[in-house]
Amino acid sequence: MTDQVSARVASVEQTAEWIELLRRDYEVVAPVKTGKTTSFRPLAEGLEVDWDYTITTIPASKTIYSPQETLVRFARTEEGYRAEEVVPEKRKRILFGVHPCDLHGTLVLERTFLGEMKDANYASLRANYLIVGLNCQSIGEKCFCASVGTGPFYGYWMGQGPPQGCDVLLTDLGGRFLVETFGVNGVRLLAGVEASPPTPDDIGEKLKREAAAKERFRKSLDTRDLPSLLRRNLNHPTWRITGEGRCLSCTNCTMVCPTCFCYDIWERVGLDLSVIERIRVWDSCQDERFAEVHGGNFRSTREARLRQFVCHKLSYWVEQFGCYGCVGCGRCMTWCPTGIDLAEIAAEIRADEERK
Amino acid sequence: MGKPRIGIFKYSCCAGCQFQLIYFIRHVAEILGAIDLVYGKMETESDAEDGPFDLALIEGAITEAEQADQLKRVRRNSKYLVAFGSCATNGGIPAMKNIQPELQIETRVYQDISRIHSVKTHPIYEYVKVDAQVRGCPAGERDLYELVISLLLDRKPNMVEHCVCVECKMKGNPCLLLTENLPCMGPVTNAGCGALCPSNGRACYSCWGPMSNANSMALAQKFEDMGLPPDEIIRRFSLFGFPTYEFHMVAGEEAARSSGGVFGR
Repeated sequence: MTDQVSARVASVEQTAEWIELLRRDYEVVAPVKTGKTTSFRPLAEGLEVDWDYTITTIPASKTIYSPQETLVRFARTEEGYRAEEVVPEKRKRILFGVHPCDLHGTLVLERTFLGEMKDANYASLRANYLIVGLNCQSIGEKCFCASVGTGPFYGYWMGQGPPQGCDVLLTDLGGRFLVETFGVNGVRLLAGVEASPPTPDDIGEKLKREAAAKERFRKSLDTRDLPSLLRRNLNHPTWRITGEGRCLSCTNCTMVCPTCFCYDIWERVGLDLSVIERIRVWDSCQDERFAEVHGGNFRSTREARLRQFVCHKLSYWVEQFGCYGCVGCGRCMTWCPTGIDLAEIAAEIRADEERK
Repeated sequence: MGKPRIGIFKYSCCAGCQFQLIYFIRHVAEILGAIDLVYGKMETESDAEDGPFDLALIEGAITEAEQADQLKRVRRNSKYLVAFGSCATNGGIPAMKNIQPELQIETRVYQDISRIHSVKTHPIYEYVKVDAQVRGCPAGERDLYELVISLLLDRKPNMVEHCVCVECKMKGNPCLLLTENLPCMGPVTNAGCGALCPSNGRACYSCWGPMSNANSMALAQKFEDMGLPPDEIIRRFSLFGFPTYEFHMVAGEEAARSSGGVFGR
């Protein structure tokens, strides 16, 4: 269906009306200013879309894949315990104003959850959502999506295209929006919206703005031969120096990563023991207990855990899923209390190898 | 199995954890029917302090030799022994005094110290094997609940053992360290409180004590880079959990210095 592409141009007022129209039928989850940061929140009266945001703390993909969800419920009956599968509630939602790095973050996460093995819970949560992307023109200090090919504008990616995982794509052209729709869902979302077809000037403006956005990057990641570069340097001193000297094992990097999928399974038991819920909760490879197994812990040092994070995102992921586990959103380094930066680590290792 | 027999013992502390337990029991009627409270100075009139117990809950830190002897006896009379609250778990507030020489502290508080037999503050794990820890000041409800359930099911409790940052991120809180430049102890502090303070815009002050193997030195360095003076940094790492190795690596140096110890400064 993704070959059905159409485009039109909407004024700021028309766009605002369109959002109001969407809110009648959907819960619209959009980037909203929350103090000094921006977060994805359901739009309600008095909340406005933050059109110029750089990056939210929690990624769009983790609006879908939430911190905690119930998988199975066991209830005591007279014949013993009966298991009931918990199906996530059906709700019509739109994830609105998602930047290309996050659109890709969702696609990468889905290589895990909807790849060879289908995660039924994620699949039914995902079915609740339609996604409206927003091409990004506010490049932050830590952004490097252009280096890994996931932004700042949404386009072809690793042979996929036109864009998947996005039903409508907006581009701010200054006082008006270019609105591109992909597939039947995109067309349906735009039903009843008054907008004119784009002129060649509008398309030219989009290309101009994309080129200008690319000029604004202050950060980059050299991806030449990167997966094997890291594999060759699993004993580089930086793992120990950065790991022991700066890493707090606080797990912030993985919590805010759009592609981190690890979870732990807990059981929540009612005090009268009549109901037992099996829940899944986000987990992190940076937590000391993560690799604790019978007989020991195979990543007991911070050095090993930091290496796992960086090498998984930039090396092992490629073998595992055929793409990088990093979409260049820069969240891990932004929310690391001590500013550990995986692009800097990769650059340091590259520089050391080139010096030899 | 009959109802599990529980004993509650109090050492040096404010007794807030016992109040928390009473509060908890009052509000969860099912518990009262499920357990048999055999001994607890504040809860029962019983003098059955030698049990035997299925579970001994220990509140407070050890600050006298006599308490240590008693604690060892409790351990021998109990199937499971659980540290209940910050003082028992990590030394808590009473361990703040460890930063200065004992005699100095005693004379600051008491005019006549001839009847004072106090020693430095110790978490109970330094004297007996501890089967589980219910952290918190006062002891946290989530872990207490997990303890009761685990006792009823006779399974190993699954306590919260990650740091406070995890709970902040799960709630979508902005990071106070990075957005407000506040000296938040969240990255080194054991969670379970639901990130109570950071969710209300206040920096974590580590009342649950350190997360296991927390990298306190790296956070202390971060505080220093933020412009926090050394005594402020030491205060944050000695308010709770001073005797733990995680916090001692930061605050212990100061203790040694003030007693003219190994650093000889």
